[in-house]
Amino acid sequence: MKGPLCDELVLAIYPTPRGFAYALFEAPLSPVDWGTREFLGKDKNARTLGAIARLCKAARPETLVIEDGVTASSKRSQRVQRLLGLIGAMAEVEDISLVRYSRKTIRETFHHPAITRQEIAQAIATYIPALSDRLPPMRKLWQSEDPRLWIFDAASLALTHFARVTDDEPP
Amino acid sequence: MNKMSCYVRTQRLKSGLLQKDLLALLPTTGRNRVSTTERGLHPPNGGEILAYEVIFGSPAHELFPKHFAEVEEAVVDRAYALHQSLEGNLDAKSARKRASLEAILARAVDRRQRKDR
Repeated sequence: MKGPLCDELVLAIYPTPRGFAYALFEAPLSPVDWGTREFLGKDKNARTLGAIARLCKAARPETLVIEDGVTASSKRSQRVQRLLGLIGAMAEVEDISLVRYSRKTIRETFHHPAITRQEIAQAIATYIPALSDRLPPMRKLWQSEDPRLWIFDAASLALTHFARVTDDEPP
Repeated sequence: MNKMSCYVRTQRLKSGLLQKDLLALLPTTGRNRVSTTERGLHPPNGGEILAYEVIFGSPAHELFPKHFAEVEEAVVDRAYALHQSLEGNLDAKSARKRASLEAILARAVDRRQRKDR
């Protein structure tokens, strides 16, 4: 990846089974905030959406990037698909430009249609040292997914957006 | 760049410190001070600004760009007003003062041009 050609405050949201992960970038190699939020119990979508709205209010991003959950190839649950729709509606109300990218687009941006999420995370950690200490180890077959990987899923959405906007090459 | 109003959280995340770690490093301060500073709810005081500079090794204007811009604008306005009030005074002391005030204005203009580039 080349230098920061585009300075646009981009907030990428990646819904997770327990809440959401986010990554806020002001340029391709400049993350300014990242993390995960978890919500247990009922009304998960309403609470998740509330937290995302608060995050948008605090960060005031110019662009919100989410996964395209309605493509035929999407494997996201119905709850997450509903949440993605609600995020889209919220972005419209808040007057934030919304962009959606499918997993296929992300994989293509990272140069290989069969690339795994772990490999994408490793590539991001290599190029963005600030995120490198959040890189989880490769999970074993019997292990559940590490929540830290979701931060990289959010970052991959933001980097896909920067790559599309600037015609820059991702890591 | 500098799209955020405060970069304390960014620097803290990069350094791997928790809010309570940062709180322990700051000189006498309130319990929620780091959180409120990170969220831009409360401007940091002079001691905290210096402490954050020491902790992260970044200058205050990079850590608190919005706060710095506000202070700079206020100082530039006052410097301009003071410069205007000195117009017509031809003594050496006033000339020195005017030169200092012009330097303040020139630095502000230079900083703004570099930021816009």
